[in-house]
Amino acid sequence: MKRLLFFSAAIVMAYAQENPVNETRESPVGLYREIRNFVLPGSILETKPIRQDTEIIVRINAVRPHGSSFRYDLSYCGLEAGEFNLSRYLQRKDGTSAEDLPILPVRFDGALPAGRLQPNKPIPGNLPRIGGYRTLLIAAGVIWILSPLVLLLLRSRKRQPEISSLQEPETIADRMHPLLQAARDGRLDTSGQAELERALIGFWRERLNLHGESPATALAKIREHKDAAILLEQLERWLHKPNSQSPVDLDSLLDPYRQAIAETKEKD
Amino acid sequence: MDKEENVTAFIEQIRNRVGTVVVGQDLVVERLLIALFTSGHILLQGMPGLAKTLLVNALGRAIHLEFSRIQFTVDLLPADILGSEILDQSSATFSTRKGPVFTNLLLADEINRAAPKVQGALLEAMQERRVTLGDETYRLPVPFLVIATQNPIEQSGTFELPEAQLDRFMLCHRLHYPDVDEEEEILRRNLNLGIQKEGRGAVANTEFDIVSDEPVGGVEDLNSAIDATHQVHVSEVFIKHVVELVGRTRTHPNIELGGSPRAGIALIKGARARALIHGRNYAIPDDLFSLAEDVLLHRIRLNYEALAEGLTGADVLNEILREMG
Repeated sequence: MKRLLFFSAAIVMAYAQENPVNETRESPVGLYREIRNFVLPGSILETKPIRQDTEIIVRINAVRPHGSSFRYDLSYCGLEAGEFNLSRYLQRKDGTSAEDLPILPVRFDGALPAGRLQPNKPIPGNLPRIGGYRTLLIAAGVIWILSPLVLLLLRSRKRQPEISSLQEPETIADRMHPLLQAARDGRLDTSGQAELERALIGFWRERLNLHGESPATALAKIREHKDAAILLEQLERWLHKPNSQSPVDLDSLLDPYRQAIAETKEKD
Repeated sequence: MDKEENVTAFIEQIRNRVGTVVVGQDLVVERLLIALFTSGHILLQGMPGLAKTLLVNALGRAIHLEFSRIQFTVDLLPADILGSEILDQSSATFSTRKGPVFTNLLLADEINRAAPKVQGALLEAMQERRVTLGDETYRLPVPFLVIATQNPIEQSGTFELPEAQLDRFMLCHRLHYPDVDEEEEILRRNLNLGIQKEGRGAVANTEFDIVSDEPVGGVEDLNSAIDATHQVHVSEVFIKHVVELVGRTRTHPNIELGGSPRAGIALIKGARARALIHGRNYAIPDDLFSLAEDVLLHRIRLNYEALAEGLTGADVLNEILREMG
């Protein structure tokens, strides 16, 4: 009988040493503290889901079988100053009641003075009426993808007039016609004369099919052509040669071009 | 013979003299003469072995001008070109030693091989036509023409001239390989160069050995040609063409950097000299179209889009010229 009493006392002492249940564990607010090899009776436990206003964050780091119970490594961190029961933050995995768990008192000491003002609780905002967060994200994504395309489109539209202003929208004949008319009427200023000369060079390049040649080579080849050489030489005398002895007959110079334009229009 | 005939004969004699040693580079000779008559500077771009140095050498000897050549290397210093002050220990005074830049005709061979500091020193001298050594400023001889060369290959270890510095060159001419007939003629002439004996030794002649030292004209003839160039008439219509061309390089959608007003000036000057060389006393569009590439191509920079499309400056410039006329 004495031996039995001795063994019972030893088991109780060992359990009490393993699980110093009634001892209040103290720690400052915000620092993690660990409890290792803590035996809790009953089926396996897990932590309760964390509430927004929870006072303690509890984590189960390891679980090992211990006879019909389980031995736990726990870590916890207090978010509020005060005394709490750690068991309240645990629940059984199998859904049975955890009311039978022993009280695990913990105390957290805060550095802030008592009676401080608490911030107002955040007021939950209303989600947009159409859709929700997911819809908002999808809309933002679509705008993100489309915005560079819109920018490119706008840029290309802006550039369009520049390109079209450099391209010749008219044919050589169309360009030459008003210039020849103005020259005949004596209304052609220096800019017009320059434009006319360039148009006439373009006319001969087109007529002699010299599109593939470099402009300098094309002009040299135009000068090798019998008719073109004579007309261009007259044009030079009119526009470039100083104090020309023989005056240039503009009608005879420009008539071949007028006739060529008229022929082109008849063909069209 | 009147003055005009004298100038024409002088030009013809120079071309003939250079033609005795250089085959098929008539266009380059013309460009060199244009640079010489307009007091501009010229950059020759071409593969090695296209007789760039020989050409300049022959031109220098034909006009009886002082000629210097500098081979640009990475370790060249500005003082190697401009000169420096040297301490005379016997008199304890500094004496000035003028560099090779003090000449009439300066060949700057492979200019892109030198460091930017050296390139800058030469380009400054080209621009201002004067050099400062110590406290003294010296004017460069008149005429003063720089003919620089650079190879478009072997670009590793070179310092590319930026557009702002390239703008100092009135012309940038790109040399091409001779055609088949010209190349055959080059080989035939080379076969007949012969050898020269000196003392007990002998050595094969090079083209440089057969360049005649007898000048076809002097500085007076050159002055007459420069004067005649200034008498060449440039019409208002021609000026309109030049402004139109330079303006189009500034607004073309493929060009980031267009021609400067200096480009327009170079076109007018070049056109005058070309007209004189071709026996005219007035400039015509042929002069403009012929010189456009040499005057404008090194002054324009294509934008990223054009480069991404694989366009070259020559493509864009030809497009502009075609659009013009």
